[in-house]
Amino acid sequence: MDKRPPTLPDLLPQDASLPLVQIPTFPQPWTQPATIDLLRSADDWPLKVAFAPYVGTAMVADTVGDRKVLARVSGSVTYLRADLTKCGNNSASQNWRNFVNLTGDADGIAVKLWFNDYIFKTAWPTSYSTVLAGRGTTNGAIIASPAANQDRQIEITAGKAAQTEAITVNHNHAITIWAGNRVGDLLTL
Amino acid sequence: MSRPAPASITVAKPSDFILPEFAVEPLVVALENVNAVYLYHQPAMIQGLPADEYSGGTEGATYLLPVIPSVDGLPYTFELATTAATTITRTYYESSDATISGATYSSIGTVTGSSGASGIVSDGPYTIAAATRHIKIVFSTAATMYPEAICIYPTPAASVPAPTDAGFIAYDDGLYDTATGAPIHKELLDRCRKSTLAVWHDRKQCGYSLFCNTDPDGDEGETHKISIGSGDSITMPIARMRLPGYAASARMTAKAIGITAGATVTDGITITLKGKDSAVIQLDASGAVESGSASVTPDSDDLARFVDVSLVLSGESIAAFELHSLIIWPEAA
Repeated sequence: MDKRPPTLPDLLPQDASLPLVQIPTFPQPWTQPATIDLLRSADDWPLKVAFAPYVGTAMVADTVGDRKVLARVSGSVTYLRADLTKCGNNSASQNWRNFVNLTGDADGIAVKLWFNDYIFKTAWPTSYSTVLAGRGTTNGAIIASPAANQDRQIEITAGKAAQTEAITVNHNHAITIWAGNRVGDLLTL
Repeated sequence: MSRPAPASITVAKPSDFILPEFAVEPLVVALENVNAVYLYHQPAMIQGLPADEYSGGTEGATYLLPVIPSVDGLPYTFELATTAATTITRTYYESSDATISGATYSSIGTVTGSSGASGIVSDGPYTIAAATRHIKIVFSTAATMYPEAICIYPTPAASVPAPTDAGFIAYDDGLYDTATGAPIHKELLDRCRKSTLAVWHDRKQCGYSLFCNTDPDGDEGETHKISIGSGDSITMPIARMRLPGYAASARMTAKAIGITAGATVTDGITITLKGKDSAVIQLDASGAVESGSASVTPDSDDLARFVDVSLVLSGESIAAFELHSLIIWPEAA
């Protein structure tokens, strides 16, 4: 069966000056004829680059109320996850665990991330001499029919083209939106 | 002759590679995809949230951001998320100067219009010259607005005929598929790799961002959001940069704009990068675009690879300073 799963190459160390067809060396003084493998490899490169997930930007800001986050997402990405950092005052004595809500899921049901850290009130570091930082990452679970506020991956509408996703978040000091999953077969795009 | 590109990337079936020798397909599909990558590979050069928290809104904001634009001088789209249904003037400038005081700015685009029902607007594309060291973004409104997010990414309108400075060479159909019985030259195969990698390396992807309004007007208690006293040392929130597929050591290039009313605060900005190993970049708060780099190997696997970024700002008992912006991009070592 014809399938074309996406690859995840490490493009960073790839030298763009190197040819796909290697320079012949003695005693092979001519270039090999193009083969199916070479053609397939040539065809792979534009797809590798086009569908390589983009870097997830660590964005630091004082987000007190709801705020829209814009994140570029490459083609083939189906789900997003988020890393969050939240600074505040110690609230262990009040037993107060904090959380962040994220909306933007294709199914319209918010994702709620609870922090393990006991922090109370948000506090921007330059405004306070001492703050605690809680950190968390949304769950890697893909749930077709989520309950309200269930922590999970955020479903988006995958396409061939890159797109800007708008995710609304509240009460945090750093957020990273990143590709959590991709289509299993590029031919389905 | 033309330089055709599909409306989107074409994904060929594996069975398409079972072909007679010297047939035009599937190589033409791959070559047209090379042109498509030039058009549609659009990662964010800048992506972030203004650090300011405007619960009461603001009448305007100015951002100064260091950039590493494409060496090909590409057009970029500027997206803004803000308060919905608000008429806002958005003006974008570029500058090839590193020093902020006295820098010369050229307007690359301006638009006045409503932010619409969603509050998300796309301006441009506006060309950013390759020599640009930093950009200035100015928002103003007669009402109040809350600048929530900014995203800047390349959006070329057409591929170019000549080899570019980045190393991209477009596919022109006059080279191959309009000539009956044309042989497959090895350079056409090489082009699929070399041109697409050249595009990928040229378009830097924003890995970390921290910036704020450089010109708070004092209304509603607005002050500079990242202001450090001479005798202060402040630890900013740790943030995680995700680097999908980045298995090997990556060089992180950091650029910062820190403004001081006094002497240059040497090493006032300390960035610690932690993946499988760790590295430190120290930058001055000098009134200019300062740059430094260090290499670090991301931790974890596959899509989840990451580097944690810690930031300490210190006046070093030299002078107070305001950090306007700090941006980090991963690059090839």
